Amino acid sequence: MLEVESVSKAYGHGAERVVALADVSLTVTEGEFVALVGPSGCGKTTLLNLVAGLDGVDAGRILVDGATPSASERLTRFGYMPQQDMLFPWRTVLENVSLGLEVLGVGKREARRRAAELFPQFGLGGFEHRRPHELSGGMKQRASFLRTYLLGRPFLLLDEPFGALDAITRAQLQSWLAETWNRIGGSALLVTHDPHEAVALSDRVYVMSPRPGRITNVLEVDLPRPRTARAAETAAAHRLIDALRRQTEAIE
Amino acid sequence: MALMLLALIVWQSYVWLSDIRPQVLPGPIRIARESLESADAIWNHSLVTMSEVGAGFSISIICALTLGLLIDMSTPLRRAVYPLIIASQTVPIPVVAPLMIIWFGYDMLPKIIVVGLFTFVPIVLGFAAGLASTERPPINLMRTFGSSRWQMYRYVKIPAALPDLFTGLRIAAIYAVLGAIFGELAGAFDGLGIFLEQSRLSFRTDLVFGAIFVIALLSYLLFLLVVLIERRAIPWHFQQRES
Repeated sequence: MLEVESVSKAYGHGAERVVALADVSLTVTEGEFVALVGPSGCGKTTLLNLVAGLDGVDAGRILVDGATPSASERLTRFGYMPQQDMLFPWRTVLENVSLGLEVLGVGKREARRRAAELFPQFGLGGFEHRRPHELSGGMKQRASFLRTYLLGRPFLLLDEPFGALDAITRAQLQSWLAETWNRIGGSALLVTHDPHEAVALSDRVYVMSPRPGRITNVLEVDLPRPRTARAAETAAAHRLIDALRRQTEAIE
Repeated sequence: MALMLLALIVWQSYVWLSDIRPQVLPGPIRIARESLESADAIWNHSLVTMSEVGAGFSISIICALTLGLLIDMSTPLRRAVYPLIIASQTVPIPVVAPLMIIWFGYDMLPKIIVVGLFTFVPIVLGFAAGLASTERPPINLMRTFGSSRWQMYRYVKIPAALPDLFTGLRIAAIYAVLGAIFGELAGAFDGLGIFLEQSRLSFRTDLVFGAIFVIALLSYLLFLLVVLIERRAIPWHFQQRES
């Protein structure tokens, strides 16, 4: 379980000081999928980076399963998936996907065996020995997700994973993630600016506003689980998406 | 290629028509004939120069890679060393070369040092720029894997720096042979620089041209070698650019 309590964060000094987050609190309980929605610059990625331990908080606390690990301790607690796919061109797709395990100390051969096993399930079968630039945008994101998933950490932090994709690929990957989630389970905190994506995937949505970044609304998504690809097409889902859209548009 | 051929024809025609003395300007045919006549001597001198270049360039690469890594790891060191590296480039190396002879004598070492002075800076600057070019997001990703500093370099920073390193190596390769020649001219018993100087002093202008041609050829071959190694070492860099 993740609890963010009254967290604040500012960057810069003097006249250039920018308050990125002011008194932000949120909770993700075991097995929950929670989304953080807001316009760009509202601090949602900053918040995700603080949770991931990539940066320290100025004020407030971040609790993981009731304890308060330091930023450097949090670094290896979560499965962090960055916004860009960050697949390295000097490695094959398989070598990229197994990189996290290799860094963690799993032997090269074992890491690649474990990664290769999951390639078909992640729609990457046959592309093990290709280079990243040979993959489509959607496949790159699936490879990036697999790399994060392989770390075996049950709590995922997803930073606008589909933000750079075209609309059709994004919709496909959203339903793919919803179905994958049904299989693999775990908890997740997703950062997105897309209300549709937030409702389709999550159990609860926090709405953020910028300057300074704060949480302005919380929306419970009581759509049935397990979610299917069509979960966001029902009337109930549309009402939620509309409500969310109105809230985010009011901010912008 | 055609342009070079045309220039040679114009050159040769001028020599024939103007009746200019070969001590002033020999024609390409005479240069080729006389150089082939002295091929044994040129080859032996070339071997000396090539071994100076080989040793100097290798040592220069090792030192440059080490210093590049060190200045990337330590900000204070970078601040201290960078101005020195830039300043060292303003020192005219042909002037320094005789000092090397005074300090280290007539054998191999001063030539290795001069080759090093000619090649070291472009390699260090290329490598350090490449290491510094890694952006925040991949570093953050590696941190969440629990990456150590060494792993960060091994898996991300060094591979990412290779294209810039090879740019530096290509520039260095062009200057390496020149460095050896300068070293020899300051004081040596053999080497292409010495062959050049001897030919000049005995008014064998044709052999001076021959020596210059071999020097240029060696530089070009070394450059080509670096390019070939680059193609093999970082094929991903070229594939990515093409796609």
